[in-house]
Amino acid sequence: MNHVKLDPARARQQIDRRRNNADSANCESNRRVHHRHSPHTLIFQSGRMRLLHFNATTRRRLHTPLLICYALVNRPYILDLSRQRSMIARLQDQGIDVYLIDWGTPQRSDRYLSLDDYLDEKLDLCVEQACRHSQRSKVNLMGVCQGGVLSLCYSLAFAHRVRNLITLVTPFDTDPHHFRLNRLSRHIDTGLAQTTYGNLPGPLLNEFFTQLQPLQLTAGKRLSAHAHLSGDNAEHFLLMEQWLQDCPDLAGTALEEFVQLFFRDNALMDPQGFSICGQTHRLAALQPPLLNLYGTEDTLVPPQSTTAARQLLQGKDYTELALKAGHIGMLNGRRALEELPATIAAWLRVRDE
Amino acid sequence: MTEDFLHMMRQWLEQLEQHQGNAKPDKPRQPHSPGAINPVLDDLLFRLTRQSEHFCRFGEQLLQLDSGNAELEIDHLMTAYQHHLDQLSLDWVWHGWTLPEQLLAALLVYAPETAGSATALRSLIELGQRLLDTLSDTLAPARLAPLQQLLTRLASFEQARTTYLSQLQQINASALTAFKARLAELPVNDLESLHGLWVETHQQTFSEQSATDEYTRALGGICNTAMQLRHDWQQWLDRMYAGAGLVTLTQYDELSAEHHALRRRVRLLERRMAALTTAADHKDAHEPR
Repeated sequence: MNHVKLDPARARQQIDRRRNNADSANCESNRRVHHRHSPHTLIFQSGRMRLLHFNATTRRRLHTPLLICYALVNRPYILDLSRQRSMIARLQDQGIDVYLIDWGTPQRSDRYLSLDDYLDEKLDLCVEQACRHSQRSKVNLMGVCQGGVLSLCYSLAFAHRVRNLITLVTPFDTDPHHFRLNRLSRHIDTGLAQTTYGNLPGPLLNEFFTQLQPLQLTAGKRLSAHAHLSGDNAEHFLLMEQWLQDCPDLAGTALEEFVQLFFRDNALMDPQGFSICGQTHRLAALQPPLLNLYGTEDTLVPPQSTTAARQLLQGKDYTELALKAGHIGMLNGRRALEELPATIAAWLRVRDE
Repeated sequence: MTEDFLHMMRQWLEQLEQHQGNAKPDKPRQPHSPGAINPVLDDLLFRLTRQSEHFCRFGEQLLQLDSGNAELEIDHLMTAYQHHLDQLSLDWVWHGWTLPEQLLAALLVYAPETAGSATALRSLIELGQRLLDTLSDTLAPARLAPLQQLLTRLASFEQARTTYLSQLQQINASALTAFKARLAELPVNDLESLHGLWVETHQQTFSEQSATDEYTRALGGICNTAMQLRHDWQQWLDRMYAGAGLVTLTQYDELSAEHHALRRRVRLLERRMAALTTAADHKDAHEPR
């Protein structure tokens, strides 16, 4: 075949439609988007880190509160993007008191914050404050993505503080054969990154994530942007896009340690264990019951990486649930919002005190 | 050499005036009421819709290539896509691995039209080398050495950039071959489907080829040389700041490290104190009264 038969009239129509849509996409209303977060109170602040409380909205409540530990990458407000798309609001509606950690943006002086600092000090302070505020001795801990790894480490080091553990889109096995992020970054000198930048700049990290699907995330996705921007869904689309661009810098030392331990050494899968908070821990020794949630279409944290936990936690109180969704879809997609909060609440209810 | 330098300064001043007169010359300004619009959103909208504008331009080009009987020659189409892909690759590399600000400014002045090309950077390195050779008779070796080191770093970065770009070009070439094959299997007759198929085919090829060791090494190479250059540049600036009696970033970082060490010590002592208090309370509660 030497020719492509194009319909010139249709091509002209497609070009013109896109031009018109691009004009309406740039309309003023699209440039006045507002976040409408669920009502909450700030109960604790330490440096730039904040702990927010979202009260359960039903009479029947779970006794143990849920503390959400988000990743250090991106911002936690994806879990409460708008009233229509809020995982937190849906959890509140299930009778769960939610506490959310907002890590804030590290300053240059925070470049020496280590993983131990995040676990032993920051996360531990949040657990302590959530316990005090809710007048309970333990929390249910839910970790999202990298926050899931932090939550696993915390549950190993401070088992007496965690009643139940939930991991959402969390990487367990980061073998470069199936974990692309590890494969792509394996020749990058993270020590040099720390020495050069101090904290790794958020925009640089965003560029790196784009490397996973360069054309899809630029030409492919943005080519359909005009249609989303001129419809009823415009505000949600813009909020999502704004969130995607809003990546804080990452504390240099903690990032270097995280990459070494959980990417290069694949520490969670190491039967000999790994050292964190001054002690050696093995995933197989995890005490709290674990609910492991993942998306079958997740390309960032692929299902093989998540389900590897199954083997290591044989004989433990371990539950696994998959949804047909991608990485972000598991946090904010319609299907996830319909199914996950009820599943989480039901799983916690039978393990509540 | 002096003439080159004067020419450079003149161009720099012209660029500076242009920059001050129009902060973002390539971006159409939108009329809006002051204070009402979020500038971050404004910028986001621009970036989101820019791709559509590219699509329209690309579509117009394709229609112009049309031979009149509603048929596009595959080879013409491939050339157009090839051009588009090459441009995208250059854009990725240019925006993904930027030079330190002052070096970037120098490059933009030196080659305003072709700053993103390998030739411009190579030529700037040659100019720098000629400058250092000239200065070598008058400048103390201790001052010359760091400058020579910077130039070596810049050359390593340029080499790594060329290697990485060549990896991207290989991927693009394979993607175009695959695209041509798929066009033969799946006849498409509209622009959007054509574009969709192209993106999908490119993504598939990219996923396969970016898994190779050659690609990850090239990616590591460009990242590491860019960081090394930035690091050495900062060290050089630090030396100049220190010479002028200013506090350097290194000194600030040393203080931060000390602060964190002290903070950890305080946390440890607080914990010990809490444990001792608990133990004392426990003992009091169990002692006979």
